[in-house]
Amino acid sequence: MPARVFPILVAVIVTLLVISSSFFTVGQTELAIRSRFGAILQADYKPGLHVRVPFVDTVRKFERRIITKNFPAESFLTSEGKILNVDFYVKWRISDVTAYYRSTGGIEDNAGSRMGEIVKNSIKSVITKLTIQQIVAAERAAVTGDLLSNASRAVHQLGVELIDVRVRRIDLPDEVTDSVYQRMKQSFAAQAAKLRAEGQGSAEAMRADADRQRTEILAAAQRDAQRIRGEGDGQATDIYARTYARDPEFYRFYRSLQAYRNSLGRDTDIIVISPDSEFFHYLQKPSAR
Amino acid sequence: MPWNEPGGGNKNPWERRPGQGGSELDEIVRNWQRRLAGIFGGGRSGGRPASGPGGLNWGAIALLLAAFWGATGFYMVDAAERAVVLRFGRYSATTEQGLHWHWPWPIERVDKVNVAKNDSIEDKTRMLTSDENLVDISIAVQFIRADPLKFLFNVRDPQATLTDVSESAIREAIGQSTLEFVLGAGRQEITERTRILIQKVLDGYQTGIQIVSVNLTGVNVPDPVAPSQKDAIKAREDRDRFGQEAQAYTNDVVPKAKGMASRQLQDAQAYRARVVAEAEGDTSRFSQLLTAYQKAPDVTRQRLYLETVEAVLGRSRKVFLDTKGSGNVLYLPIDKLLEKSSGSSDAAALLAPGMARPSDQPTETVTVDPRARGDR
Repeated sequence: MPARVFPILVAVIVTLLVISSSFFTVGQTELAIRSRFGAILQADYKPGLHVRVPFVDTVRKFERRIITKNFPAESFLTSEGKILNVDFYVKWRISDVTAYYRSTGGIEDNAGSRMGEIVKNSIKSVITKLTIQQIVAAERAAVTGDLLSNASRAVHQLGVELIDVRVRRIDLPDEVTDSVYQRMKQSFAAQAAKLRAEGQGSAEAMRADADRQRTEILAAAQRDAQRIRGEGDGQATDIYARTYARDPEFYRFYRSLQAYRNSLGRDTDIIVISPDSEFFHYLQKPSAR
Repeated sequence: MPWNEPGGGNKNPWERRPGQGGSELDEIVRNWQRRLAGIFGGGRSGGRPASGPGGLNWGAIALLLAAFWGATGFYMVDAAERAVVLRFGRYSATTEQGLHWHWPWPIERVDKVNVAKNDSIEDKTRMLTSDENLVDISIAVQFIRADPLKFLFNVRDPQATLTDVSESAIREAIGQSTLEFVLGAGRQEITERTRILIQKVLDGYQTGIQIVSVNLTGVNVPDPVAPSQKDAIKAREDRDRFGQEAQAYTNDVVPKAKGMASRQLQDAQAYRARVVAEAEGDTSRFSQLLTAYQKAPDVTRQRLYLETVEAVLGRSRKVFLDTKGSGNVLYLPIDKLLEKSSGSSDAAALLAPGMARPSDQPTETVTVDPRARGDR
């Protein structure tokens, strides 16, 4: 029985092997090339199941999706002669798988480094025209627009389509960084000084305003007070005048007497008086009328 | 163990569901195991090389293998997931939650993508602002894999792409802003601009990723500059403090001035009231006196005069001087008189008896005869 079963088993295995190597699948994320003895037979495969001649045809698969290539810090010179370290990345995709296979041998790193050279040159030519300030502040389109179209043409022969080139970071060299720190410190110091001066200035203004208000309030009060006093004096004078006008002569007499009483007759006073004054009339002539 | 490989070849960790649908599969497997035991057990216990039953057994084995193979096509999809079915590598369908079956390997396979879960990436870098200052930015980006087909088929490593794009986008947004804007009022706007930019770029790549939110988790000046920045912030507080102090001064001075003003006005009013009242009092007194005086003017006049002179002379020292015929210079030693008055009380006084008046104060009366001046 083993003698009978063995050949059947071999036949089955061989058949399966032949069948399985007559087909190949292309994934949704893949591109494929079928070649025979180095000659490319077909390259425009859609995803799915496809046929090949077993053991004769070779199938190579490539990435259909967008691939990212990062380039770490590269130094570039700006238009004002400053050095900038720029990190950038390239998004690319295989557009022509035959050209891609021929020019790079299907190795992504080869494609990446060749693209890197091209893109670096483009970036260099863009950056030399711009100042740091323009580069930093520029819209992506402004910097990478020309760059992308220039580089796209150049990478076309690689069978590659450039989807995007973007600057990931822009760094200044260390020695420049220190001077930036210095400038920032000075800027903050200036800001601080300005703020404090502003504060003191407006505080002084507020104090002056307060002092002005005080002076005005007091002056107004003084004015009103004098006016009120004047009213009082006026009313009083009016009252006196009205009353005393009834008999000015008697008023003079009465007031004079009051004045004598108030101003004369202190114990230190010495009055020199003539005995024939009215007061002494009866002192000298008691009987006389 | 073929039943452990539904959707075999999955590489993504979130799609691996060990034990998923295990109970049902276990049951099927147990059934098969029973049958298997029956087939082989029967063969062995029989102890003979069966040809007829052997043919039957081969068929059963083939059937069994086919059943096994078929069973590996069952898979479960979670509520948050979408399963993408690939037939010979080519997309054929997307299935949603529940139990499904696909043609087992090598015909079909299934990739599962969680479309609901929020994932986030974080990034911290130093970047340049538009005014060429440096600032350290930390950013957190939350995203979902909204479109499983795009996510799987368009970009290799979409998550790394998101990191690259985020860094580039925040750099661009910061690069267009001044340091002051970044540190102060601009945070919201920068976040929003970054979010829109990231989404735009990702859509350009068709990553199938949707940004949920972008947060600036840290915005700081570089460490060497931090003390200066702190001082600037403190200066802002100082400015406010100066203002408050000045306000306090104002609040102190003005009300006090108002108080003083009020006091002056009150004083003035008091003065007015007093002066008027005095005038009224004085005049009232005078009027009444005048009324009385008019009834008997001569007598009253005499009385007032005499009373006054009496009061005045009564308190003073007096010198009687007969001025009749005195066209000559008269010498009066007033200083001596003053000396006497302050010195002693026994000074000589020539006093007319009628003029003597009782008084508390010593009264001196000196009579000088002008005719005596010839003696000097």
